[in-house]
Amino acid sequence: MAGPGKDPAQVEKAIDAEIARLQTGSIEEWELDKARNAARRSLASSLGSSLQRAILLSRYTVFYSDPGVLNTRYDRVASLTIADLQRVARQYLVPANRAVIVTVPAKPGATGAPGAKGAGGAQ
Amino acid sequence: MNLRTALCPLLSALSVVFLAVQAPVLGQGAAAAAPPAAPKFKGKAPVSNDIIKVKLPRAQETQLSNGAYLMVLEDHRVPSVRFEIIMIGAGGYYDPPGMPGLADTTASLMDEGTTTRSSEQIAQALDTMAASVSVSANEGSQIATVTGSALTDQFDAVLALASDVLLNPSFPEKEIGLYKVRARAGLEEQRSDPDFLRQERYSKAVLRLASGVERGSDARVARENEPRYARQFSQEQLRARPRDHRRVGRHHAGRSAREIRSRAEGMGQERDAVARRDRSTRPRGPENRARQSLGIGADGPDGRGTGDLAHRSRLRRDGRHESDLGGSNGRLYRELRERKGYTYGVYSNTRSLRYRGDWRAQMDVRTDVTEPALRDLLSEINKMRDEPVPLDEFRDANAR
Repeated sequence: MAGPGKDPAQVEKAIDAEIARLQTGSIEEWELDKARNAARRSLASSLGSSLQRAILLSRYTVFYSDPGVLNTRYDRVASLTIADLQRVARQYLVPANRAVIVTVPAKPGATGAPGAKGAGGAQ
Repeated sequence: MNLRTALCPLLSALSVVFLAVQAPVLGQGAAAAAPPAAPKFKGKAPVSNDIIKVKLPRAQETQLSNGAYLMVLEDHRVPSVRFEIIMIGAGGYYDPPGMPGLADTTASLMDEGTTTRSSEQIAQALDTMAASVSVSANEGSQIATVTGSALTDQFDAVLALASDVLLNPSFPEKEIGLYKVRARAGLEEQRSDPDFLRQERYSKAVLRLASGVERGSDARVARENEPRYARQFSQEQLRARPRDHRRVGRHHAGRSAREIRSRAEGMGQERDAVARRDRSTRPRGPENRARQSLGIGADGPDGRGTGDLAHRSRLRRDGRHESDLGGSNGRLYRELRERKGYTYGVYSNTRSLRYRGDWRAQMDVRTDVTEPALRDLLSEINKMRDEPVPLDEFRDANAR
């Protein structure tokens, strides 16, 4: 969410710059460690709940025909390299695959604004 | 974790999940076979009148030499640790006179820099470890807390960082400036939030708070306070309360309670933060909103809390009225949401605080049904107060 008075186009431009950096710029080793730790933490959190474990096992069975992915998933994430990340980013994070939607509040009194004549009152 | 070990306790849950996701696949393969029997619906969920028996884990407790009281709950199933440090007497309830919002503001600034780490370094360290450390001292609360979580093998580093945040905050001018910008934006935004405005008015009408503003407005602190106030508060309120320090953690195998105790004793004193607010902008007229937020509540006649209210209104003291009236199975939900369609959700609850508490009911509604929704809400409360609860309804509530 952009702060008051900030142009959404500037926010989008900043996001584009980060994607470009991921595709072609330098990625530090600590950034990769961060991603690995985040994945490990997420998996550990999931394993604490019986329901989440059941969901993961069923998903791995449906998508990979192997519930045992639960036991190997983190090792696969940990084995990824910076080159892997950049290859995937260049292949998939491209404008052709993207939909950008910007929503802004209606100005007070404008057609369709809450309280304006004829405006809906949906929650 | 071994897969076989994981599967054993999951059988009942799996039966639901597997069926849900695999049914279409099975259906395709059986297209030429006889059609499956139509499912039989019972029409209502089975209700057991048995009291659920739960065996709660027992915490290891000890008094540390630094004055803190330590409680540890061991849970060896996953490699993570969660902790909470509680400081009684350091919440926003104890804001100094004329300084509403100081505790909350101080808490918000605690992790924005220490004598040895910048705000960015703290954030990067936590991100890199996939950990969290958070300080809070909400307005109206008697306690301040430092909460954190980490993977087991990162716990020492995260606890050291939490200790640094607690003991050595530096309140950099730059970060205070940024905080003010964020706080002002938040203040403007909350003025368009019906929930906030409802809570604000509720505080004034029911809790009889002088300013009428007990939530969300750090305006005065954001506008006027200098770093010295935050420094002074953090030192006076937190260093003076080492005995109020508690930690509750759960940890993985290899992390014994003795280890946790050793780490905690090294922390020395703690500190936190605090705040309240003032009203710097007027609420917009309710006629310009598509959504209204309604709230009703009461405290005891002398501010002692909900015990008196429960007695006077014949609501039961054991809290069961919440099951009858509030919650997703309660009367309010059934009547105002399911039957009348006024709202997505309507709830009531009791807050039992140390010095005072209250009972309240609240819901968000479309503007055009505000009047009938309020009327029916009051009607349901009156019914609960004046009419005996049918035995079946009472039993159902108890079974839940």
